[in-house]
Amino acid sequence: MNAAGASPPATPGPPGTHTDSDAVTVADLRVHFPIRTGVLRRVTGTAHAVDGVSFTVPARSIVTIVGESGSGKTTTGRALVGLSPIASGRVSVHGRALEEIRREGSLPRLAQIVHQDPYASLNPRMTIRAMIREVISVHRTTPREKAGERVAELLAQVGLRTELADRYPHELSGGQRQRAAIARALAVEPRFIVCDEIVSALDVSIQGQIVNLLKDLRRDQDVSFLFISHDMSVVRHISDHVIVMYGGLIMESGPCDEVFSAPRHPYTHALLAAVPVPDPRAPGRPGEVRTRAEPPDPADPLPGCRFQRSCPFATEVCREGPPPPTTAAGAAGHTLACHHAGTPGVRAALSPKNPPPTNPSTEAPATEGPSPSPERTTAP
Amino acid sequence: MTVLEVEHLRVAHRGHNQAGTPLETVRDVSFSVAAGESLGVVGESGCGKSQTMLAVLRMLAPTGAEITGRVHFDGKDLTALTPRQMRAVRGSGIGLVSQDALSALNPAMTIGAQMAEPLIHYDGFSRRDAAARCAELLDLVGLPGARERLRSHPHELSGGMRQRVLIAMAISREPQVLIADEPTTALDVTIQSQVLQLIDRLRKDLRMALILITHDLGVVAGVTDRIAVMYAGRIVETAPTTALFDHPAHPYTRALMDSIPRMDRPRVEYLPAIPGFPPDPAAPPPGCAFRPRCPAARAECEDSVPGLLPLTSAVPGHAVRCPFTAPVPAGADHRGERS
Repeated sequence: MNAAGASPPATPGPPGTHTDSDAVTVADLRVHFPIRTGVLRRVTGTAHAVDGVSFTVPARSIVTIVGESGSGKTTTGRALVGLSPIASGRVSVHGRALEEIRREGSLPRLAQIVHQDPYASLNPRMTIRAMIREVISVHRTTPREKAGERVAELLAQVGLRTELADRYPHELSGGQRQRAAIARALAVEPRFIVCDEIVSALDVSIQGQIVNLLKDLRRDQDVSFLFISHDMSVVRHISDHVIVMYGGLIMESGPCDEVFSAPRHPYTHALLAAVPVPDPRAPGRPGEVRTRAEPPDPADPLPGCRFQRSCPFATEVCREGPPPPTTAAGAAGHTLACHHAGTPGVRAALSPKNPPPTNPSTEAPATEGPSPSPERTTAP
Repeated sequence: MTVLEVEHLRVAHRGHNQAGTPLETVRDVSFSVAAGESLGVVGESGCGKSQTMLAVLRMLAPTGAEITGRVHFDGKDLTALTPRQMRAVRGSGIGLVSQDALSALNPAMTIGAQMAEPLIHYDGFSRRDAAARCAELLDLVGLPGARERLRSHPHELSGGMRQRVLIAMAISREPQVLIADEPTTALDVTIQSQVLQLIDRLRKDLRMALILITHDLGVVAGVTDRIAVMYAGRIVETAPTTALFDHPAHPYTRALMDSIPRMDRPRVEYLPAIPGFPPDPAAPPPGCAFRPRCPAARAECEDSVPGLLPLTSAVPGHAVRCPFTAPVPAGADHRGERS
């Protein structure tokens, strides 16, 4: 398990080298989109949505990419199922190059995706049964006469009562729709499933059901998951390994417990601090409003660290060049890309002794940083 | 001083099924908010929390929705006003921030034009004054480069920025009550905390009453004084925020609290979730609507809908719609570690 920024990581198993225990390996993945302007739709620029990302998803594991809108997390996930135009880099799924699998048309059999909004991804004019049967017959996973049984089996796996099979998507609740979308992805018996923000649109009370379902599926079947989310509190409960992305690059990557108990990157720390604490007496409650800088423009990537404009610790060095990927001492496979990973003041502010969710006030006010970022403004 | 008081509000939609039975989405809801106070309304999708607020503002489609009950605001009963009088209340009396900022804003108008429209139309601002006021409001909600932003169209802004614009529009006519319907659900967690802090600060600075609607108890913990928990169209528990978090009395409230993935507790293998789904509003179960999902359900729960009664030996203002709840505090498992 390893992950890093633009250059090859230092941890075991160089990217691209496949071991049998890896479901997916990604090496220096870049996804660029053309920017078209004017009536003639001429290409006038390039959006660097994903700008050099390497990681692996071990078989039967749940790896999470966490980040905010525009971080490139969804684009990365879509690239793994052939839905984003890959500019460069190598992706292999179960030991074979993505390109090769795509050419022979067997990518859908290996890798599936479940989207955020099942309302948009399920056909409103087909019943759940018809939808799943279609997948089964297109991919010929089950003989026709056994298709009915298979549908029932899939619905049972995702915890939907059989009588719901004849309903249309609009007749289901949000959680039920998401279960149906998962059942449809499972129908092709994939080895790898990308789950793109699948619980973000659900009520908190239902989110747990879906998270637990993925854990059960991972336990009972030979399937691995790439879970994409912006919510650290959900990520903490589902992941084996966490990858934190910002501005198209990996900021920090490591085993789940490690990243949550000892975040080493200021952005990870900020993400943790933002989770609301369900305790009216929690300290560090809303007082001042800090306006964070907008995420970097993907069409014009900043030189240096992508997080520099919002980082309370940013200094000259952060504006000059990209931070080298470093291995965090302590745990295997914990890497980060930060110039100040070793700066004592920064490390103290991010120390696990000041757990951010319970005390967001330690989220290092600008004055504590070596040099406050001028872009960080405070609202009146 | 109470600014908004809702009494026995009911909303029924007709003609939604072949049988012609009315679909009751809000069943006998009463609550009030005072100036400067903030009330959180919490519940799952379909519990009637948004319907309640749309009924208060009379923004439900006039055909089909039948609203009964009283809504007292500023010495008037809003249910008795003419549409014209009601329009004067919206915006200047009660402001609304809706969940989906992209669909709430007009995509073909610049931010400045749509913000200025009500100021010019209702408050007699000149174009120049309105533009200045809009820039001031965008500054207030912490949108950088306010003057340039006035010329932007909604699609040019990020989700967090659009939500700030909506908040600026909602407070532009200095309403006495601000209703924020899931204002942060569509936003990233980092932006969510900023928007919550912003709403909280504006409420204090402008002495507005705030009604914050959400499905996430974690969101309301830090920014509300009181909470009403809704289930299947009814308020099932209401209490001051600290009392509700310390001693949640209704089984549904407890289940909702347990389902929050906690960052301040040890990691668990399985996240607690409430089993099952909320009831179909067209065919609610007899008796207590939570009974099919309730871990403490008894045979008597099916007999009648329990009343919303004050908890004995509890904080004033703590009422619960469950006769079988323990009168003593719920115990340590529902208290935060530091409380």
